[in-house]
Amino acid sequence: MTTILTLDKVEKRFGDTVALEPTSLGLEKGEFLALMGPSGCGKSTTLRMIAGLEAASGGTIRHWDRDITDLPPWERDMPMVWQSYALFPFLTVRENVEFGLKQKRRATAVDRRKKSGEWLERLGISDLADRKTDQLSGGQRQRVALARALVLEPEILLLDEPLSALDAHLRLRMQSELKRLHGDLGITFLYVTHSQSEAFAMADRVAILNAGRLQQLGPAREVHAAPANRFVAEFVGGSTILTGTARGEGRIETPMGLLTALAGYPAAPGETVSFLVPSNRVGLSEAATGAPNEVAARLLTEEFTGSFVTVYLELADGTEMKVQLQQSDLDALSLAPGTPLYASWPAEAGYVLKEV
Amino acid sequence: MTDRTSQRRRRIDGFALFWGAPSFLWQGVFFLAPLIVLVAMSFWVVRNFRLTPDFVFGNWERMLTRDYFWAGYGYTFQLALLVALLASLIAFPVAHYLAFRARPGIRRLAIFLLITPFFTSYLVRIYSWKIILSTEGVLNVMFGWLGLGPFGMIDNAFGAVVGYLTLCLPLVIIIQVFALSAVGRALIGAAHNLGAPPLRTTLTVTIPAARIGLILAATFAFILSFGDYVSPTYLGGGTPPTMSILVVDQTKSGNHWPRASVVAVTMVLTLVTVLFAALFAAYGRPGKKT
Repeated sequence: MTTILTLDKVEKRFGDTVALEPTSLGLEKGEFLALMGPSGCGKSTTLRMIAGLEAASGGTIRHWDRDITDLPPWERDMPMVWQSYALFPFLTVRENVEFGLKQKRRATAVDRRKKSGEWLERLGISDLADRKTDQLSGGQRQRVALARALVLEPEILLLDEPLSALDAHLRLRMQSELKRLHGDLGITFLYVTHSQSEAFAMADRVAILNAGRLQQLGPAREVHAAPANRFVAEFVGGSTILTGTARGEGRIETPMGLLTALAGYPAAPGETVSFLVPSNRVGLSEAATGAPNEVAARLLTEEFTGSFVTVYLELADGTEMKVQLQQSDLDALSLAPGTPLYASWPAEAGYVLKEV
Repeated sequence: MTDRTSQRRRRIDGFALFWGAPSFLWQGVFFLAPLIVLVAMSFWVVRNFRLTPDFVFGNWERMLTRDYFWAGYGYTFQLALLVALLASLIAFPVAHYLAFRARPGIRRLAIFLLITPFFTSYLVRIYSWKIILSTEGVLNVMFGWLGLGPFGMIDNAFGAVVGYLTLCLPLVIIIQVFALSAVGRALIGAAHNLGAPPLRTTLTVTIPAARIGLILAATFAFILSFGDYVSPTYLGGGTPPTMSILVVDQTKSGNHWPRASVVAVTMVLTLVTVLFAALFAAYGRPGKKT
């Protein structure tokens, strides 16, 4: 793997507020990297700095070996797909797609027409070529925005929450289409989103930002399985976070009793630690079975989502625990709110976080 | 089925009627009725300095066959066109700065300052230009120190244009600021992102995106200058006469209101035509090909 884009201690301040702490990360050639985090975490600012639409307050941005930190946006080759699409309303679909080619003067009018035609075809919007953009649906606009950026044949495509304005059904379809497009083109995608499901569905690697700080960068599976800290674990979801005092050999004393968590960070005895209980590893029973990691709980509510059921429990210390089960696992249980239940999970499923 | 829907559509909306009625009444009494009287009067005659209702085309024939009428019409039209163009060009950099670069506080202050000229009488502002522009005026005295001049900046087209700009420029800037402020920042960012430097972005994205407001601003400048009487009289010297001066001349010489009406009706027709042309240019070019 070769690094196509490098952020070296790049930071952004607006007056006294810090939008991005000095952050370093490398974008590998051909990868699909998702930059995610809650709103205001600095992800869009980072993307805008890479596009040159926002000036970095410090650090350097390199495209291959070239320092592009101070290069104006119109001299960078990093077309962006905008959340609002930012299509030019006074131009037709075809004119929108040809806009970038016209600016860069790379192609003659005939070539432009041919290239824009190819991309309109590829994205299935040839029929709309002579329409004004205000006559298009959200999904069609999205395609025009993609064609407008991709027609420039960039090495890196920047995407700023491109799917957030679409309805859920269309979003899923565009997700798989983007993923396929990325595979076909072999170019690098840098994708900003606040949705972890979008990021995990498409990205090779994810970078999670919070409050202007990079929390974790790694393959989607790894971030999911081994979150670096409590923020990442909560953001990624899918687990219950419990807190207690380490007693050595993975044992942790909690208000629910002495529990064991063998995976993750080995905590020294006496240390306060947080550990995760993955919601798909928890079993439920109506009576205590004497299993090692067993806690008493009270049923709060259940949520049927098709292939599986999500059950929410309240533990002795008030923590809400999320449990994911197959419908068949639940048949044996009577699930009325308030029902006392016992939840247990294997000791090796418990994952201790490095930071509380 | 279709009958029913068309019936439903024709149903009278009492609420809209109630609130809309006063403005319709106002327009009817104070615009439409006088306009009808004006048109009618252009066919009347004057006997012994007395206005007499009649139906003759003599006034129209008399005015439309006179060279001084067409000279005045051409002069007025050209001046108004020049002012619309000049005001738009002078206003644009200011409006662009205020809409995109200025901090919100500066912008608010600028809008306030652009409105204040309307507090003072237009006539007073025109008279103050006389002090500055006349042959013995402030500017010519200063040019004199440099061994230049004196320049004739008054009682000619230059003076008239200065006066017209005094009238229109603040309004044109304000309309342009609002037109440009409504252009999405993302559009400008997208243009930069796709390789368009600032000047190209302004020409190919900002101006087309703000087209309606920009045309509207220029139209206002045209309409205000075309009908103005003060500037051409006090700064333009009255020669050649503009349409507004012609109107006054006709009423003064021989109390000839019918001929004045001919001039006025011609002006109204011109403005209506210009306004429709402008609205068509602003809104009516769907799917234009390049």
